[in-house]
Amino acid sequence: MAIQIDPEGNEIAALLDLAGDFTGKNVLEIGSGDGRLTWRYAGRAEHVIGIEPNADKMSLAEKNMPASLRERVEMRVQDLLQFAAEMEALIPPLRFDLAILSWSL
Amino acid sequence: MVHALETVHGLLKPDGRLIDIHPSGEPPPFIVRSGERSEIAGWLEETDDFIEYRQAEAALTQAVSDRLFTVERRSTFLFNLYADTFAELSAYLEANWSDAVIPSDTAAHAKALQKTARGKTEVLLREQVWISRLRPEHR
Repeated sequence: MAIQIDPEGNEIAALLDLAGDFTGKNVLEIGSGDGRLTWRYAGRAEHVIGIEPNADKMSLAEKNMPASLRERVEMRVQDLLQFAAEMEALIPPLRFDLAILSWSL
Repeated sequence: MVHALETVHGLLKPDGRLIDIHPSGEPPPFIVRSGERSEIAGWLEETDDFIEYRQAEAALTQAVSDRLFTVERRSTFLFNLYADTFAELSAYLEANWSDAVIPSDTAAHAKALQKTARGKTEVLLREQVWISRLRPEHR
């Protein structure tokens, strides 16, 4: 057996319980890693931006992203401060309905 | 870490929400399962990551105290990694959790439990994880 990570789905169940309905929401996931959690909720959201400073993890995420999510998920190799500065420079600045600190605080 | 929370605060809409997910900071146990029977073989040793998880908890407390966020809901869940053998699990941890330290007596105990068990066994690492929903406050 390959390593199984949270096969019970406890993490996504807890996220859906606390975050509620993702429908129509613009989501920022900070520390999106290889996309393990992202793929589990992104199909319900309007748009998702995942930021991850580790280029190797991000490359895995790009490789493993389900085709059905490519329209609504954007993955970036970026840290939080760089990303925030970029969003602030937009006119108007981009703001999110939901931010997820994914094992990254 | 509090600075990171301030940055996230600035990225949220006024009615937005922050979900924070981080492990409890308690060393997770290695559990050997055989049928209905489960036995703890030992614990992953304290690493810098565990210290950071506790600092994350302190940063959240500080952010609430500073009235940056209000905690609306909070709960915990168990996050399990499963493998057929202890060797497989430790190889995975070595590759993916560079900070992980597995005490030699824990490794020996887990292997012994697998060797002496009747029937199929599996090994898991079980982390307790905090999840919180926070509402940004506007001072």
